[in-house]
Amino acid sequence: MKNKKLMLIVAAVLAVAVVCAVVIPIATCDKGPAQKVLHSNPQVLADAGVYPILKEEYKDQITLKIMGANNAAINPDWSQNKFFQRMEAKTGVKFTFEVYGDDMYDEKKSLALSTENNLPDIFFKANFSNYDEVTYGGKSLRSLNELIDGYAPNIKALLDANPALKKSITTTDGNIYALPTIYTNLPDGITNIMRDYLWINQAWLTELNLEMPGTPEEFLNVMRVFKQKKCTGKGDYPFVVAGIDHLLNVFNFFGMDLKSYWVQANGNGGIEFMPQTEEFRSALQFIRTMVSEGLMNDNWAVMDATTLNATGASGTKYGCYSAAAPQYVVGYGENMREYVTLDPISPTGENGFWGASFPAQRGCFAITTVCKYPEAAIRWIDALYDFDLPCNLWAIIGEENKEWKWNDEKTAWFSTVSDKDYAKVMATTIIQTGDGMPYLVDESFWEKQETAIDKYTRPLRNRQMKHGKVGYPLVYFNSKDLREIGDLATDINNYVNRYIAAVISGDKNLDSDWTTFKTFNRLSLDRYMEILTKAYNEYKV
Amino acid sequence: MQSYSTTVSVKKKKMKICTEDKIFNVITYFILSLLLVVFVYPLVYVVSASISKPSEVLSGQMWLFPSSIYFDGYKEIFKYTQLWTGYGNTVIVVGLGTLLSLAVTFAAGYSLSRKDFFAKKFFMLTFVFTMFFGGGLIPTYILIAETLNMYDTLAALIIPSAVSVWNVILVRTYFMSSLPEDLLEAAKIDGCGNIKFFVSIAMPLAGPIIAVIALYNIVGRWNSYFDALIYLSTPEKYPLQLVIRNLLTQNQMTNLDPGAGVIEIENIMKVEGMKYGTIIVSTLPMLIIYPFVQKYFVKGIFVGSLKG
Repeated sequence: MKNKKLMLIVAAVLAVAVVCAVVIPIATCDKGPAQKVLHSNPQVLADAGVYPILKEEYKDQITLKIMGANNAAINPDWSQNKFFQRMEAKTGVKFTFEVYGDDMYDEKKSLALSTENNLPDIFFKANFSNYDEVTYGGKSLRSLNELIDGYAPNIKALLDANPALKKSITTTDGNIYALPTIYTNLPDGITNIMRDYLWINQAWLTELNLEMPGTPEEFLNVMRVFKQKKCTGKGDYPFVVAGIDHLLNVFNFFGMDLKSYWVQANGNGGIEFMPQTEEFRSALQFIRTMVSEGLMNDNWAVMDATTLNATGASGTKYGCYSAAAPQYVVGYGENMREYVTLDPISPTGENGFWGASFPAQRGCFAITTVCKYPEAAIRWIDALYDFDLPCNLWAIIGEENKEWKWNDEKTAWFSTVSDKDYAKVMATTIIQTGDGMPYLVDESFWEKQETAIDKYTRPLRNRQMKHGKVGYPLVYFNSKDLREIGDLATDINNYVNRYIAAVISGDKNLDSDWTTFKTFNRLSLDRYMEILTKAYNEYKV
Repeated sequence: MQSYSTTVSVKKKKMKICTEDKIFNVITYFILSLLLVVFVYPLVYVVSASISKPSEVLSGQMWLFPSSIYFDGYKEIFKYTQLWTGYGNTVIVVGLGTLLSLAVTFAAGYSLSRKDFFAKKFFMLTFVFTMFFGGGLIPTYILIAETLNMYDTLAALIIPSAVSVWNVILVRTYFMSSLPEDLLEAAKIDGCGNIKFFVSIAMPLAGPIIAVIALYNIVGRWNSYFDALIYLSTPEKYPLQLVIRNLLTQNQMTNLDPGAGVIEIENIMKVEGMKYGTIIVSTLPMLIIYPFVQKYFVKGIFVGSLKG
């Protein structure tokens, strides 16, 4: 009996082995090494700067497959989109599409990149992370360095003119695998960009005869008066914070930008882990004071930006809050005009700054190793990095004199589509939400947009952006470091976040717990800092 | 029957509820009421939210009962064609998938229940092996999408998930415990073959377990989206749950451009208002089916448990 059982087990194992032996070669050998040969077909291209980009005999003969991330609710179908149709007419390159909502796209992207099954020719609005570029770079993603040098004059010029930009998109193996959104012609005095601004209620300041705060202490006093005079209802707070990102804005008051890894470049060419500094302690003390005096909402950790934004319609007014623009929180109409951006705040009242990001957003466009016409693909995308061509604007506001037009003096431009139809018309005309688009954003053009809202908020946003600084740059980690830093960062984030929450809620006392917190090292902080310093030094060189 | 009920009533009279029992009851009911609140609250919330103004839902003004009556969400849902194509696809996948699953599950379950099946142990072992070890996502994906060439077809949602070993075991146990061997012998004497026995005798006797397996399949397939997410690429083929998932997970207000206008916000609010309505529209069929099949469900689960 025992023998029989044993025989059966052996038979089962054998059967599985046989199945494996048959299936695995089918699955792997099927594709063979043929794919690893990089295609090159420069002969299809016309001369640089000539449109269509393809020679007459290849025009409309080349079809590339695009995969991309897209908000399906507002931008349903790229194959029906006028932007791509206009681009096809202009460049002579045709497209097929595989487009997914942001969240589904992440799965599809990872599957395509890792299995090389169903890999598109190009990724547009690729939304690649450091991980994607480092892991699949050279495998399913093709290095763009030579293509840029040879076939993309606009991109090459932009990168040559801005070495920092080039550095920020070059991965650790020296290759560029994805193209970024590039912001150029930023207004005078602005070197970095911001998405979130702190808005303060100027109407209340004026009414109560208060000055714009310049130090944390002054800010506290302003909020105290707001609380006393304006936010008298139960559950009314002069300062509202939705989530940790908003809270980190407050750390700016004390000279810290903590949005990346809790570290910041210090004056001596190195970086410093900020949660162990005295500034961090002061900031925590400051926030604790605000919460204990009822100046700031204590449910900041569970509130999200969507909730805060949705309160706009209800007519609630605030003393100060973070938002991309005031109207999201307090609604459109006259309400929004009561708010202005905060001037920088620092303990001394001088040299204050706001956390910002480098004017490039990486991981937006990539060419895969299966693409048969990489030269045509890079020349095609190169058109979006040339502001003298209309292509760039087709993507985001449409065609001149159709969807938008200049005023007579060419000092301002406005949309010709009525507000009522705007969403509907634009859904099939442009690629909505410029977030993550591989193209050039010319700020000097956007400054001339003629809408009432933008005219009001833009100067205010610029006022705050002038003080924008990057605490720790957007570096690349190699895949080994990336894995390690990911694990370490999870632990350290949890630890620091929990400490922040505990201090703010009063569960932990800064007087008694600070020393213990300050000296923690059991989470391999040394190794963490070593990796961050290495990446930072490589970035600087 | 009469005497039975009288004895029960006599017993009842005799039984005195002592203080401990009372305390026990109070505590039990208290815990049950808490659970009731926990289970019912989300349901009521979703219903209320679907007919309230989206801005009020988001800002937390609506927390239990609708703060205002607002049917625009439902109007949008009925205009949202993708949802209805999704409905159609789901019905196809659920219908065909369940039929296929029933066919293969019962064929396998019945064969394995027969003591005279020569390779019974071997097959059982192989089946059970797959319960504990799988190839993982990527190899499975390559196998189905590439080798079997099912990428972007509804077949990828139906065929690979046709057999659930768990269900096969359930069916096997059912046949083993409630289909006497004598029945087979008697049938054989009358000249009945194996297939005839399975189709005309075994299957008709398996009513409750068919209902259970069918219900498992219907509910499981109705609610699943992951296979669709990785194997489908054409929006017209998306099943209902994937359409809903896409609607629910995107459109976050957090990454708005500073220049976004009234229209974008309105658009977002519109989708926000559809979210809860779609949840109701999509769960409704399940809610309707459940009470009718529920009795089989309970029965079927206990079928195998006593002797299995």
